[in-house]
Amino acid sequence: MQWSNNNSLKLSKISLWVFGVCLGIACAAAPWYGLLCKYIFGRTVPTLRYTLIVLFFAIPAYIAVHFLYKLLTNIEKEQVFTDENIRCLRIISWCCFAGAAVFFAGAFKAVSCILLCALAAFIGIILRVIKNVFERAVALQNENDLTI
Amino acid sequence: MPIRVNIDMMLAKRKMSAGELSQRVGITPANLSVLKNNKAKAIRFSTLEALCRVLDCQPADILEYTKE
Repeated sequence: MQWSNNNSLKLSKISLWVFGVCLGIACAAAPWYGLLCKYIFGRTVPTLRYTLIVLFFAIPAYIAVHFLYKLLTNIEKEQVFTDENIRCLRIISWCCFAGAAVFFAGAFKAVSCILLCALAAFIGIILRVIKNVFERAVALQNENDLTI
Repeated sequence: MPIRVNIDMMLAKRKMSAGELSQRVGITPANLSVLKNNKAKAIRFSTLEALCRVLDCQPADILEYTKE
């Protein structure tokens, strides 16, 4: 059980790193996306719009990655149901809503963005519910700690 | 909290130290301190039983209800 738990945490951290690196590559490569599409798929795409969406999305995404990493580090230290973790979850959920807002703005020009907007907003809602569960869990833990 | 835990009084009556009580009851000194300072939110029947056994008293001797 312990072995599996430790490895699960490690896997989560590695996934987070991979996501961060991929996002970094996407950000760096965004200005050349138009050229890439032209040569590979043979069609022109609005590069500036794509670049702006990726860059504006990257800001909340990196904030979320930072706080997810913090959350994982806290869980590793056996500090699971704490006020700090609730704060992390709240910030991550707001980051999701910010990402949804970026995609919503992008949807005015590219309709397909509305799907990503809905997805980001839904993940934000799920995280809010998890945050609410954590809040109850912290209250229960406090009561349990003060039961002698 | 309107329920007060009067362990200090019983300890003085029995001439027992807090350390000895915690050892004989089987709770940590930190938890005994939580109880003594009325910071506890609940007390297990098993703990109450052990306290009564060690201090040779009734629950009413340890617990007191005061109106807020």
